Amino acid sequence: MMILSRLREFDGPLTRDLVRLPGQFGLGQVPKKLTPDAVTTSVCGYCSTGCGLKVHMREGQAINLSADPGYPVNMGMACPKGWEALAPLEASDRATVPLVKNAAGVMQPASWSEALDAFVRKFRGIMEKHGPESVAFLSTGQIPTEEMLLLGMLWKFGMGALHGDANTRQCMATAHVAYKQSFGFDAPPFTYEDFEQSDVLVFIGANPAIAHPILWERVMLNRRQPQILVIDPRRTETSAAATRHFALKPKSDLTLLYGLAHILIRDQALDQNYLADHTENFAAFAEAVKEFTPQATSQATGLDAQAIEDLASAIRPGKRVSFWWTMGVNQSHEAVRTAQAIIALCLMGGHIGKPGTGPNSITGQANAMGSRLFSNTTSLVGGRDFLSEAHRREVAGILDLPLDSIPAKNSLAYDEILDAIKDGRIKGLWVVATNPRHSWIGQGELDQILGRLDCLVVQDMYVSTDTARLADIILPAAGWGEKEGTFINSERRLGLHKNLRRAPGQALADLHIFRLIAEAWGCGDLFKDVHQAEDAFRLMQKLSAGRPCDITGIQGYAQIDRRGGIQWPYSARAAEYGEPQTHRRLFEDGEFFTPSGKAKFLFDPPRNPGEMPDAEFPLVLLTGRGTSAQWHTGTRTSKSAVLRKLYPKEGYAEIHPEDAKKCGVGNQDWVILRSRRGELRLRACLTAAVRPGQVFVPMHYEGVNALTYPEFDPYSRQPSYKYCAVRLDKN
Amino acid sequence: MIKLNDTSFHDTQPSAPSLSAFVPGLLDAAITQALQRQGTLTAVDLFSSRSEIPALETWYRELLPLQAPGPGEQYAFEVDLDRCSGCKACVTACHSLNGLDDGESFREVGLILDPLAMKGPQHITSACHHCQDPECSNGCPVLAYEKEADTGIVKHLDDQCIGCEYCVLKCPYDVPKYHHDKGIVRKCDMCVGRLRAGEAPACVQACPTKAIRITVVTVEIPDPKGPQGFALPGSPDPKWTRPTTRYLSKKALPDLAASADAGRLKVEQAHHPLVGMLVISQAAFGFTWAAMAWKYLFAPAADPLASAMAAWLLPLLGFGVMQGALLVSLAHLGRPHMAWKAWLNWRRSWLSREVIAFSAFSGLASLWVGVGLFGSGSPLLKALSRWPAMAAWAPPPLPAWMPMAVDALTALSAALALTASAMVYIDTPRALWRRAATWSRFFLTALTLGPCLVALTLLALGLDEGIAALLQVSALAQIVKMAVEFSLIRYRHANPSPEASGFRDLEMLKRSARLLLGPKRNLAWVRLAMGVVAAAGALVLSAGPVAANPITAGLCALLFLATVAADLLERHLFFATASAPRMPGAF
Repeated sequence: MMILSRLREFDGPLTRDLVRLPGQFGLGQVPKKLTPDAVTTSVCGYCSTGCGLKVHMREGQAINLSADPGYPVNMGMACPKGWEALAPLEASDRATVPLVKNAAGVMQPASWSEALDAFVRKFRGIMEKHGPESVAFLSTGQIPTEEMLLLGMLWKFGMGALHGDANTRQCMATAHVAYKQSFGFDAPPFTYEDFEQSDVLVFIGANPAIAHPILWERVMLNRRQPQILVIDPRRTETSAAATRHFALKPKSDLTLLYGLAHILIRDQALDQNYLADHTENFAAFAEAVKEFTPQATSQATGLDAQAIEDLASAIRPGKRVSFWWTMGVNQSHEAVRTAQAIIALCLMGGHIGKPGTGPNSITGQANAMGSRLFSNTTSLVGGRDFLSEAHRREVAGILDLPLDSIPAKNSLAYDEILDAIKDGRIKGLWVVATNPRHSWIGQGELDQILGRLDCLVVQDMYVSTDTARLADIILPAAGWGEKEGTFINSERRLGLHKNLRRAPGQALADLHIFRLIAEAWGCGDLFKDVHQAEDAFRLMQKLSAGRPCDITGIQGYAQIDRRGGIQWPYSARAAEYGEPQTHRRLFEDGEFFTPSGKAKFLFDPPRNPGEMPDAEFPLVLLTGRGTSAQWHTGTRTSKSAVLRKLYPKEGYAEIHPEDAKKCGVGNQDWVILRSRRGELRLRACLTAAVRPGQVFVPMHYEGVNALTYPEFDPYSRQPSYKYCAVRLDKN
Repeated sequence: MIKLNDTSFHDTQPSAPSLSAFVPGLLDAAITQALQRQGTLTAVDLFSSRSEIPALETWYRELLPLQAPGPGEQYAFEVDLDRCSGCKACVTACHSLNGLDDGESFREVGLILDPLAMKGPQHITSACHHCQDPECSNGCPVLAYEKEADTGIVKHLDDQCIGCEYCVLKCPYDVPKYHHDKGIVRKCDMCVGRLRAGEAPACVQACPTKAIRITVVTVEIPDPKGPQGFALPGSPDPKWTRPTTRYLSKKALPDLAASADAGRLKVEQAHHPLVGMLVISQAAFGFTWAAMAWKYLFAPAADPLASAMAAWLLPLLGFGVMQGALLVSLAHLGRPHMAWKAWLNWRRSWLSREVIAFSAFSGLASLWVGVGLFGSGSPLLKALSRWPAMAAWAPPPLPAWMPMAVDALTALSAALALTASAMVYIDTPRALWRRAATWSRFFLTALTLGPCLVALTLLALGLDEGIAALLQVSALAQIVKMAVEFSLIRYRHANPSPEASGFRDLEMLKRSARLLLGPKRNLAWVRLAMGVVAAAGALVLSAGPVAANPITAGLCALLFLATVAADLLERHLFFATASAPRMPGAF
């Protein structure tokens, strides 16, 4: 045995490759080859959870990262995307130099000055010929608020253009409009602590276990033995872990919510004082929901009348009840009213402004909230109204601009911009950090629409996105981790992300690109005090003064970093009383931002989606997130080899075994899914997670939106991705 | 580089926009400035000094056992399925916190779906199960696995590994993963260094719902049906290695639940160097037997001169073919220069035994060659004896029993080596290899190729005695072999109930059959065609009187090539359709 053990190598170069050593900085052991010489913090750039990451640095560059145990959002945890946040920066298809299409139609590398010149010549040419409404931008919820602000100012106050929207239209427009109409301001009232302080958590159209794993972490940290009730047509990871799952018919949620209101009113299970003191229009609402008897509701939703009674009974006043919604509500043909029905249930039970309560919208993108407040698209900066002269005067005063440089007209919404391109009214489009060619609803037409443009500019990290492949000019952008700025997460927390890596080649932060375009356009004065992100943050602060989202109390980036993020509002006045508390919720005093100070009941009768299943297309197509390792169209997540292991390579469709049997489809067979607009080849995944008559396809795979039916909520113009009629055939 | 201060920079901008306000010099300065700012990682310098950083210790304290394992105990993973939400952070944390290479992680997450009832989806996170009877370790020819005495953790000694991947075939859970660039296998060590320092393994640290913990378990056979057992749908039989991971759930998983990838056929890795090594070595074994049979049955009647040639040429060829097999086998190894260590685990590993048996055969075959060259009647000795000066140096004639003893021992060692080869595969959890007659396949390959090659050699020497018999043996072996191989398809519709004994094996055999009829269908047809051509040709050729002429030799050469092709394809299919047991997978 001695000889045997002498012939065994217990150490050597291969063994040492995986040696772990104490990493210092409170990290515990880390790989020896990745030992940091410093650590810093940064918030994640994927979703609106806004997790804190601890970045392991060596010689000034990020070499690794882990989740930040000290950050009040995630307490040391992260989802796979966060863990792999650095991987997308290293991809081989990064845009490193500007590219401009030459006369022969070939994209050629260009210098920044050539590219800026091309940009200015093209857009100015179009605007001089066809007017300021002939160009538009489509931007994102993925860049910091500072950059959104600069883009919005440059476009509307500097270049004199009007139309601009962001992909936040696809994700948060509904929550924005619902809150704004009901509360007088786009103000999600909650703090993540409410997950832990609820007795009853109602999730509607939300699958946080997969879509927001760190918020699910907070639910699992709830020590009050809460009831978790999930309202979702599909059996998801969240509904599997819930106390009870209410698998209602797709898009019958508004009816269900009205049915619940009916029962609460019938039983007088109401917080009468709250209704009287802090709400308005309740009587009309009560009248409107009279017809939604348990029987009628049961019929419309497919739920047992008893199940509906049970659900109503769970949300009566007396307990801490919170409602959480995501895209199942927001992406609907009657989305705003559905969100407002949730708000109504909260107002009726007094479930707002107290720990563990609230009608709470979980946002999608890292900076959807920043976009809603400061992007200068739907709202005038600071959550103001373009149509209000008083608001325009305020902004003109703060920015020292002539009043007439601020448009007194609203921009077209995303879908209207595309329609305008289609009928030739808009001829120049600037796409910033988004990929509509994959993500837009009813995408089949989009190639043709984008083809009609005189000029398509794509500003992105990658040259390879579906949209970038059609561009006339590509402006290479630095990504998350290569620049700094703040994101505002779902609970209104401003978090700081930092410049941790050198951007490749000549890629520039969007902030620098906007400044350069301003210079090239001749409106550089607009940003004369903006040299870096924090200068733009100062502008945000000025613009927020006196608004509900007042952040004038924040000392600067260093304080945001030190405090683990700071929630808005935090006014200069509040700052006089000291540092901000870590967790704060809104409306604790029952005062809302409406002129009357009261929250409004708003409602419409439910109606069917625009396309219903029929004999030819008998199934309903639901779409949504597939795995925690995938982000939207995958332009970043697909760059990490580890993440790629965590999701199916090929698109797949969840099909109920009964429907599969009818088509002779076996598990993992190839199938063709057809709608009136397109078709898609997918793997069949047989599961009772969907009900008979329904098919679910994750949104991350190219071509899904060739099937979806372009219908929009009338108030928020948010597309209804989650309902269209399809047919299933064996491939 | 032009450097302007900011005020003057803005002052010089034209205020009224003309068609293009683009002033090349000034814009260039702004661009340079922007690129310069982009390159400065300012925020990090400013804030990296943040000092008060709470560690995760308070988070994971409750996820670690209070005490290290005592005698009769070991560390184990415990997974609370009711808490696992399927976020897969454990996989990425393992990758990042262990400094693994691109795409590498020692943890995987599978998915169990229930096609009928409204249960699940249930994700299953798994890493190495640090088995009580680790088959990776049992099979490793170079003792590159160490089950630590105090912790029970199954560690892989990366520097000892020769990259033979036998552990990959042995582990029922598909845990050891081959690292192509490094030429070795790597696997989870339960972050043993972290555990020793009181820290949690990477996956335990990173689970947002605290679904993974480390426990101390007693070393005993777990009850697979018990509440803490390992009864996950689609998971391998725990009796094989006695895994220590416990999967807990308050909710029983429904009977009909299956892993999400259950319907998907996975073509297994073909290991072409092994395909070559096995076929060539078996050709050498069959060649040896056929050469000896010919020697005793037909040589006495043959032309003495040609037969004397055959007496030394056949051993030399047999030996040569075997050396070819050994050379090809080196191509399979990630680190071939360490191949000499492969005998180390002769006590437990059939791979070590195969290596020893192959060496023994090679040694005996070289004696066989020696006897052929220097034994009585050897043309070499005859040539020497014609040279009087050398006659004195000629070795004394060998005793008569010696060539016979060498022949017998060589033939026997060939049989043992072939058996050891077969045992390498029989001793794995793959049902195809265990049940569907690996030994018969190997033996029949020896009988198809060996006699055919002997016949070809004899024809080349102008000998015709026994050719027909040799070809008939080869043809017969080919026919039986095809029957053995393709009898697998009887499992294609197998529908075993989960309670039935051998359920897991039947499931695997069903997948093997479907692989043969599905993704491997075309190759299977070619293999069949080659087999039929080879067998029919050999039967036709041997039907009439065989004359040793170039035409017969040429035809025989073609038959041999068809046989080689048939057997190589068969062996490719042997690997590619050997469906392996795995943890429930995602698709």
